[in-house]
Amino acid sequence: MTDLHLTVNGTPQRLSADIRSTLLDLLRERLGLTGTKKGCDHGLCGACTVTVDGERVLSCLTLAASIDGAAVETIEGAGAELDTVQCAFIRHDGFQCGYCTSGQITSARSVLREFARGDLSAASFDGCRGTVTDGPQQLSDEEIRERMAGNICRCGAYANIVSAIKDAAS
Amino acid sequence: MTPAVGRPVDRIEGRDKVTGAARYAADTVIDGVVHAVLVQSTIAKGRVTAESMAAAAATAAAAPGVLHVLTPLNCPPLHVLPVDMTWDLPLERRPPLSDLTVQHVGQHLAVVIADTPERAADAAALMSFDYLAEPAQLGAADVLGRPVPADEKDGQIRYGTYRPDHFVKLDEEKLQDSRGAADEPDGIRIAARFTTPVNAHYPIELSATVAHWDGDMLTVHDSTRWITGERRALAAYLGIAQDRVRILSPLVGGAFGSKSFLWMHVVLCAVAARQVGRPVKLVLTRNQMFSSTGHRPRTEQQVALVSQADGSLLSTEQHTLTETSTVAHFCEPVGLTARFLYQSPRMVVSHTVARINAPTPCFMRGPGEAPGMFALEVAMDELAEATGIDPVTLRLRNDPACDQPSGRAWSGKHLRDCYLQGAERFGWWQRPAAPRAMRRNGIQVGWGMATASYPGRRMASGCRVVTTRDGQIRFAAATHEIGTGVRTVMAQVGADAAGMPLDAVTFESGDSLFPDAPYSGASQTTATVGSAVELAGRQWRQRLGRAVTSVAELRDVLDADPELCERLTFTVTSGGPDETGPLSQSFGAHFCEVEVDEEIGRASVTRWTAVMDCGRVLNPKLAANQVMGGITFGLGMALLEQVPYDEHTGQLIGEYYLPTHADRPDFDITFIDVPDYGLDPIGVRGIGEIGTCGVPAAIANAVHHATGKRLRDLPITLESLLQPFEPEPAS
Repeated sequence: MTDLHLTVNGTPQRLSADIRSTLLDLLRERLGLTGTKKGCDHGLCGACTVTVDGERVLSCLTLAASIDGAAVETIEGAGAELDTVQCAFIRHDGFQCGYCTSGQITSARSVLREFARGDLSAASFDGCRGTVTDGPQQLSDEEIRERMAGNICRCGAYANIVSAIKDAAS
Repeated sequence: MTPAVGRPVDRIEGRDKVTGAARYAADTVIDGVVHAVLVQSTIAKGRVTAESMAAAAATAAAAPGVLHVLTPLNCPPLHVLPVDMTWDLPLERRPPLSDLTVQHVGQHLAVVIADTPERAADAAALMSFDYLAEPAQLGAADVLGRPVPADEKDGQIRYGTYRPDHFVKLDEEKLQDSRGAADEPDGIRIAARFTTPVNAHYPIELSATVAHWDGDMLTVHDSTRWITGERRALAAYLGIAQDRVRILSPLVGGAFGSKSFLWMHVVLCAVAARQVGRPVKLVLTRNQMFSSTGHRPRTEQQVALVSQADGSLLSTEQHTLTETSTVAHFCEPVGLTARFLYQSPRMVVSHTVARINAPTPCFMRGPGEAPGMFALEVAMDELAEATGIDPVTLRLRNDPACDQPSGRAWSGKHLRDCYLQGAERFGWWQRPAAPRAMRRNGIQVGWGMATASYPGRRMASGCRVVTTRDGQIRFAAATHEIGTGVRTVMAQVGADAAGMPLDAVTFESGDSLFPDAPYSGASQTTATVGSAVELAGRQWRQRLGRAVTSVAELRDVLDADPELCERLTFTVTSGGPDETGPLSQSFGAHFCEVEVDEEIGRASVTRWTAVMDCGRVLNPKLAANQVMGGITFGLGMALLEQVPYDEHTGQLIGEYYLPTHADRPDFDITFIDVPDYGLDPIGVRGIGEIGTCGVPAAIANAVHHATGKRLRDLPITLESLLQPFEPEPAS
């Protein structure tokens, strides 16, 4: 067991955790934050995406003990008021079973932040030179699809997810 | 009042799904829960020595936090299922942990129960066994032509091959069937062999079970799409009465044919909970999902088409060799569509199933149709090429007027409209007939099409209505929300039938205490449960006996007559379809464009047009999503998906590739949207599966058009696309 300090959804927590615990299991089994989902437990599907210190991570590949002192934000963090991304997912029907949705929304919010600060994706290199040096001007469908490619939706609601993200971005 | 049906209503549980509040089985909160982990076999056939089993169990039991280790040596005897559940359904004849023999890699050998998930996983990892290995039969080729070992354990374990008569309980859906002349006529002949691999449903939700006992009453929270079947099978394995079992299926995180037929971990979780006297939670690992929740079995198909010079079919043959496990029955019903899809005076269809040392397969989205229409629709493309007739024209020419096997009329068939509207929307008529005729930016481009079809199915279902003083009407049935939108569309149907606005109505699912409904599969839930909801809503309106148009008005009426709530609370049952009238069948047409970069062997599907004839569309937003999802599912089957088994050991190797955001085409989805009242009073046929049917063929046909290569083995991989194009020798 190891002692940990984590700020989870804004609340500081002092925890004693099994050193083998993933952040995913800690959130779900210890803290009761079941909005974050286990889909593969080895970094393939993206269902467990949360942010650690503001950056998206796969919580199934993150040992809880390795992020002592960090701030973790889960899907439950935003509270009762829906943000533009959540509203857009509902309006565009960006899900079916909903199991991957927490991860899709967390990734979508991160994509918007990453794009805003000029991060490149593999799709950016299909553009002109200016896109690579200055970052893409437009969050195109291709950019969104590439940046969201780590979040699998087996129901296949991909087109609606991209529509929702474009809508939320504008 | 504007009808709710036909409107693109947002998904009712959408808010829960975007806030993380949506609950799935593994999210069940229950005091004192402990955690179970499965230990599975690593060989395909043989026997675990009792000494090593006992030693492994003792080692695990001594690990920190371990409460119990369940093995074949100490598992309370479980009962064998009634024959009607196992002889034509993929429920296992042999109860779990009932002996020390091994029939496939990934067979459950033990369950470790500990106080935390980490400790349970750690203790499970300590268990290793000594095996007395025997030669395994890992594929149909190993079974054919070899001596058949005798049945074991009173037929619980069986070997060899068999030829089932019909598909599940459907006597009319013949798996061995023929009509017309005994001999194949002369004409233009296409004959080819097609293969499809083992596919996995791969729902993103891992199968999860939380079981707890209260005295002799068992409650199971499970990711299942067949509450009533699970209740019956679980009670039978445990040897208890069905009314001692309550099954709760909260939201299901995708199923696609899995999460049904009571897989063995559910039984073992219930036994474990009884043994430790505490609630037990068992979540399968992703690897265990491959061995323990079903899959689509391999198929090998021989297809032969004979036509006249004008493309009119004279003969259709489709012969399938497929596989099941040694402990359960399943036959992928590959050839059913070939019996009726095209006008063909002569037809021969057969299915042979080999029992192999592999996990038990089961239904997967478009069972039969997905692999069967791959072969049939590629063969039709080959016939189009051989006769020099456009593929759409060829299909129009062979479009039958009625269902040939039964002679019954169709209750509403608009397939010609699907072909013609789809061709128009896609721009099909600009397609050059010759392959390798289109290039874009140095990349080969091809257009392909295929027919889609899936039966309109319906079974009996109950529905309960509860009316509460706050003016709310709550419909409920023991069906399941697996992502198809059943809660939303049932609320729409209920609101219209009751004559009330949508905000007065909810629909609940997922509890075996609700009136019985069948499994959520075979694209039948909307027709099945919808018929019961419609009946309940209509009766509700009659019982109310006056016009009420808002929640507030209803509340006033209920306040004035306090006994009215009771009269407006009741249960109805609706039956199955009319077996004597016209037959219901959904149809559609798929058109797609692929780009093939032959230098790196990459095929990308860029554009998709689908026109679907599925009866009345209750909610166009949800319906289009379903069809896009179905097409994406078929795209995975065409280009990516196969469970990678080592052919010598049966061990899983590598990963299972699925379509991602980056892989899907731009979609143009439309519906004919003409109600089919032949199947049910709300005019619907299911749309869950038809989106997938025909998709692998449309893609393979487009790949042929792009490259000139006729690829008949799925998935179409990089290696096959990298090989240089060489025209096939004329046969």
